[in-house]
Amino acid sequence: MTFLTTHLRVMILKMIKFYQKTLSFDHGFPSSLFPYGYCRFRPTCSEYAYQAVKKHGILKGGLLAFWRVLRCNPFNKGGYDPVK
Amino acid sequence: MGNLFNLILFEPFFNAVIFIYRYIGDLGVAIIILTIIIRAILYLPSRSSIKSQKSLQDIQPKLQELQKRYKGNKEELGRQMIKLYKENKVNPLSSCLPLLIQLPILIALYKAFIAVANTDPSTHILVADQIKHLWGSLEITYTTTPVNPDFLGFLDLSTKKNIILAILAAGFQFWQSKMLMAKKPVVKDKAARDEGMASAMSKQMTYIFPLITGWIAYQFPAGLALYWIVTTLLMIAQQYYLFRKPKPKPEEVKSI
Repeated sequence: MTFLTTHLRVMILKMIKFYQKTLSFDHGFPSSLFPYGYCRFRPTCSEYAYQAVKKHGILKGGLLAFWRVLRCNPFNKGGYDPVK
Repeated sequence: MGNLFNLILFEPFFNAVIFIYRYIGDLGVAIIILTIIIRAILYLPSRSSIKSQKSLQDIQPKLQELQKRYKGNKEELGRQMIKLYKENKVNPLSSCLPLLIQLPILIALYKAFIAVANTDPSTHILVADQIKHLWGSLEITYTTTPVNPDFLGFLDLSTKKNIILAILAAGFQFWQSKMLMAKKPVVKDKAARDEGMASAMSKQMTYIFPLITGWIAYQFPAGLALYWIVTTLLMIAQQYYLFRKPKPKPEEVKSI
């Protein structure tokens, strides 16, 4: 069971890294379209998700990341917001 | 999940194309009209993002000055930059949520344009899988009525691998990103290695993006390529119009 969840967690972390290297507007190729960055938070949402899943696991980390993306909207000021 | 996606996103687009087609009688023109409607709806949000990119360019000299002055002090530089942005009412950052919401809408739109071009090659009646997504009288009509896939009477939008449309789509995409690149601040070679890499990537992007566009346009029915061409042309027109507007007068900038 632990083996399985660890395996799953590594896979999810790898998927986030893959996203960052390809599609991400902050880390990947399209980042050149936004020279000042895209996400209004630092660390960016994807980096936050990566750290959250790494630190808190898939369930809690995933929920934290989901909540972060919801907060990343035009009504929020953004800023520095690390994983606690 | 798939059903919900079809119901709230895919079916409205699909029915809209067929609905317009029923009155116009030309599938290509129907696709163009729907594309124009969608771009018109997106005009305001995209205008504000293009405008904020433009005002960022306008304060670029001041920004470079700040970078020079606070070279060793990253924290102070960050604070001064935010102050500069605030003074000039520039918001350099977007946000993730609107982007994530846009993505499924785009996918639904592509699906609709592919679906409408997906007809039986011999009878030109829509495929049964697609007919069931039509609503009310449209479903009844198009169970038996063929959809003529020709644009202007000669360009078959249901066929794949239309090289001319694919090249056009790629070409316009290149033009559009080239336009954005030209407007972007030039990165000096003195700048940090990070920025140097970003600019090298942006150069690659100008070529890679259109190539991907061309390849996708080539693989899917020509109807999708037509949509792509029209939407890119409209974006080019919008960028041209917004960038052409006179810059704010120097006195105004000083008084802030």
